[in-house]
Amino acid sequence: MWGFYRFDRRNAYLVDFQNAGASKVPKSRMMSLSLKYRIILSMLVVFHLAAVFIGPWSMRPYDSAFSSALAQAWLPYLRAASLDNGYRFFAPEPGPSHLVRYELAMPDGSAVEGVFPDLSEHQPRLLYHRHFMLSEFLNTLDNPAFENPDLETSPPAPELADLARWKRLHGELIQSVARHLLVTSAAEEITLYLRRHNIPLPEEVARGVALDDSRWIEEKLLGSFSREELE
Amino acid sequence: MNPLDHVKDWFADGWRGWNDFWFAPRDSAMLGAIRILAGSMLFYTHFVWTLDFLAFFGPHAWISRDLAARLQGDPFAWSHLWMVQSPPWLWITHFFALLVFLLFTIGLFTKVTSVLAWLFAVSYAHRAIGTQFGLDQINIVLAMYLMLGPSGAAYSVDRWLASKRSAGPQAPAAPSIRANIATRLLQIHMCVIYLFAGLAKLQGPSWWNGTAMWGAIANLQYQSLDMTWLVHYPIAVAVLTHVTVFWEISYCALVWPKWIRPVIILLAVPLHLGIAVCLGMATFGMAMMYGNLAFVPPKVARALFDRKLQPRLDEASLGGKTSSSPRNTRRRHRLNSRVG
Repeated sequence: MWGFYRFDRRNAYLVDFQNAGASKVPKSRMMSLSLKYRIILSMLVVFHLAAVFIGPWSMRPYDSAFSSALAQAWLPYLRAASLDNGYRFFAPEPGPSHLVRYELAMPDGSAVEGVFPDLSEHQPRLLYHRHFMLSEFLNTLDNPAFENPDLETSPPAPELADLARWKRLHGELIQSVARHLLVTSAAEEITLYLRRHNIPLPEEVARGVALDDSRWIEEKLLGSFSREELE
Repeated sequence: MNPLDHVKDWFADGWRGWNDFWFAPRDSAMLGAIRILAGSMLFYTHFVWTLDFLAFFGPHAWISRDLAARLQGDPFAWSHLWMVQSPPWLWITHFFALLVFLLFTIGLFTKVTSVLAWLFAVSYAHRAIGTQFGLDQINIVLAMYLMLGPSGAAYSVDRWLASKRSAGPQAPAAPSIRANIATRLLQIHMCVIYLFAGLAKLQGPSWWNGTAMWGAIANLQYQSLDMTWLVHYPIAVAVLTHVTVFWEISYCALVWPKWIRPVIILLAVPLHLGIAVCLGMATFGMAMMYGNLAFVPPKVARALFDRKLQPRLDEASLGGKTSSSPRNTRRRHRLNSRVG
């Protein structure tokens, strides 16, 4: 990182090699900031860059005791500045996608079915993606660890309490989504399913099997609710 | 030389290098260019909320306000939307936020609108938990550093108004330490983003066996351009997979040496363009490319956008001479410093 600038004594200019041909910078202006301010700014920079690094480093579930402790120390800043992101794009690997299918029982006795995200309904693409992230979030909160009997019976107290909290929040999230659909559709009852669309195998696709073939799709019941239950 | 002197020299060199890295002035031209691009993205991102605004933020939102607050789990995830619940007030604050993003994009009252733009971006992200993705993260990163740096000092209405007031050709703003610190922070933040994006992939077997890219292109919900014909070219799929991981992990090191930087930055284009065109995330792909502009020298922005301005400035300040001799370059620099 060091040494991108060189002091040109003859012309009393700092040549910015990093910026490859950018304007020469008078030394006087570089030194216009007093040592006191440079030290204060340096401390702020170090504090901020520590947060920038700790945010993704401490992201669960791959955090360590050390990274968690640091994240705890930086928590107010990380959260307030929204720096607590993992940046784990398509990681650990591109997996199946998740949608939500719902069945509405209308007051006249008819049934209406829908799925979100729905590209034909949610346009532009960014709006579709918001709905897609919502259905993915319903899956993310449905942590498979909840169904792990080892975790249920051997109680690492903080972990278990945390899992129990997320399990409760997952239930509340399903209800919130159900309530929204009931209110906006004026339906009487709703049943929600989480639809998992698995990644098609390359050899099957090479043989001509479509990406939306039913063999790639699984469904799981999320819950059934009446309007009275959710009011 | 005793060992203590070596240690002293080491610290002295380090401090000098630190000063050179952070506290040398930088032209704000590239920050100004990024402001226009990132500001447009911030405006568009939040404008799209408008199309189904109450469904995401209203009293009967997909994720209710109270549940969103509980999901956040602590009081540090602040949002003005925790306090606003009635639809009229929600709409008023939303249109005010859109106005802020618009003014920030064109560079009007930038000192204020840059701060407000970052505040609104963070505020919406906290409330919209569960519906976010990488776009929101990079939006906030860009807004933060454009707020810290003088992003309105170039290519802005503020600058144009200053020029009108001075009743003559306005020289570009003088290079500033603030512009350098903001650019450096954005550069390092981009390195951290790519480093962790790459490291996280190392946990997935498909990123090792070369099939991960298939998982992305065969995902119907992401797909915006059918690339499944690549199934007949498994080596191409593997190469794309490996290049992605190697590039992401090595970005934080290879983007600094000047001789290889253009290659590393140019590789960002096909990677993010691929995400934009094939995986239906044009907004995210473009925002990541805007972040990469932090590594492009400001002189590129000047060369692209100052063609009309610069000759006029040269003529005005150098009595019609447009020589680029060292003497005139220094003289031009002094003139610019006075105006800026």
